Amino acid sequence: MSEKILLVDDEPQFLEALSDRLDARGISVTAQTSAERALELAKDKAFDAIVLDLQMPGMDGIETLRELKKLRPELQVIFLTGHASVDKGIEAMKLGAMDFLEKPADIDALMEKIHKASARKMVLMEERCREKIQNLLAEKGW
Amino acid sequence: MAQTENPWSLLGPEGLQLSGRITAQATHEIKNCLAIIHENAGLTGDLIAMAERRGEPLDPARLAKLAMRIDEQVERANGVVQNLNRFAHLPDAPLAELDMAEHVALACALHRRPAVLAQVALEPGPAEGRLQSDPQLFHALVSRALRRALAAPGPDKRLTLSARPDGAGGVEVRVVGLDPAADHPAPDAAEQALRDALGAEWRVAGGDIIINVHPLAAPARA
Repeated sequence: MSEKILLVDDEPQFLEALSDRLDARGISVTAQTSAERALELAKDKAFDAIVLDLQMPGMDGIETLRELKKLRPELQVIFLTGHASVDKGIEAMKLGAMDFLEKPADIDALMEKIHKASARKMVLMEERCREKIQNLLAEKGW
Repeated sequence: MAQTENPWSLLGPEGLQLSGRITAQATHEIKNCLAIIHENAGLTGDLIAMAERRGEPLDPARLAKLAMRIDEQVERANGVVQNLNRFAHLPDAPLAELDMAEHVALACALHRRPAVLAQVALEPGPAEGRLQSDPQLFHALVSRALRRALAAPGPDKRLTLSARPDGAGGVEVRVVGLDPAADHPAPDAAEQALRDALGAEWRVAGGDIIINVHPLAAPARA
C-alpha cells in the first residue's frame, strides 16, 4: 500500500514538480499551498506524513506543526525548508517534528524519511490500539 | 537640519540589521528558486528514465513546460540577485543623486518577501524627482517606514510607496495604505538619528506615512 502524504508549500511550481516526482515513486500526494487548508485536510483525512515548509505566508510552519499535533498527535511532520537554522530545527523537534531537510533536497533522502515516518506512525497507532484494548479489558473486568 | 558627524555610530547596528534582514530574505527567495529548478530538473530526469525503461517516447510538450519553468525561476532568482547587488552597492558613495523612480522600485523589491509573508500587496506608486542624499541612510529610513506599514496594513492589505519633489530640492516619500487606527510609537534613538542625519521630517496622516527628506549639502558620514 502506498504511503499517503500531505505536501504543504506556498510555491505552486515546487509543489507540482515534487508531487509528480513522489507520485512516480509510488507515493500518494495531496498538495496544498496554504497551511490553513492543510489543517482542514488533516482533520478529515489520514496521512502517513506531512511534508511542510517552514516559512509561509500567514500561518508559518512552526505554528502549523503545533496545530497539527493537537489534531493528530501521531502525525509525522517533516520540515522541508530553505531557511534551515539550528534554532528553528531545535524548536521544531521540541514541538514534535520528525525531521528537517534543507531545500533543495535530495529526493532519495526525502523518500527515506517518508518511509520512516510511515513506519513510525504505524508503531504509534498500534500502541494506541493496544492501550485502548487494555483499557477496555480493565473497564469490563474481563 | 542637524547633521551627525559620526553617522556610523547611529548606522552601525541599524545598517548591520538592515543588511542582515535584506540578505536573509533574498537568500531565502533564491533557495526557493533553486528548489523549484532542482525539482523540475529532477522530474525531467525521471521522465527520461521512465521513457527509457518503458520504451515510450517522451512528451515534448511536457518537457517544454518543464524547461520553461526552469527558465522562469532562473529569471526570478536573477532578479533577486540584481536587487541584492544594488542594495550591496548603496554604501559605495556617501552622497549621490538618487533617482526616486529607481529607488522606490528597489525599496519595494527588497521588501517583497516580507510583504508576501505578511500577506500584503506592496507596490511602487508614482515616483518622480531626484534627491541628493546618502543612499544607504535613505534606504534605512524607507525600510523603517515600510516595516511599520507591513505590521499595520489597512483592511485592503495593499500598500503603495511613492515619491515626488517637494519643490525645495527635496522629496516627499509616502507610504499609503496603513490602518488609520494603527499606533505610531515615537521613534527609537536609531530611527531619530537616521531622521536627523538625513534631514527628514516624518509625519502620519490617516493611513499614510509621509517623510519629507531634504537634500544633503555634504555627506552625513565623515
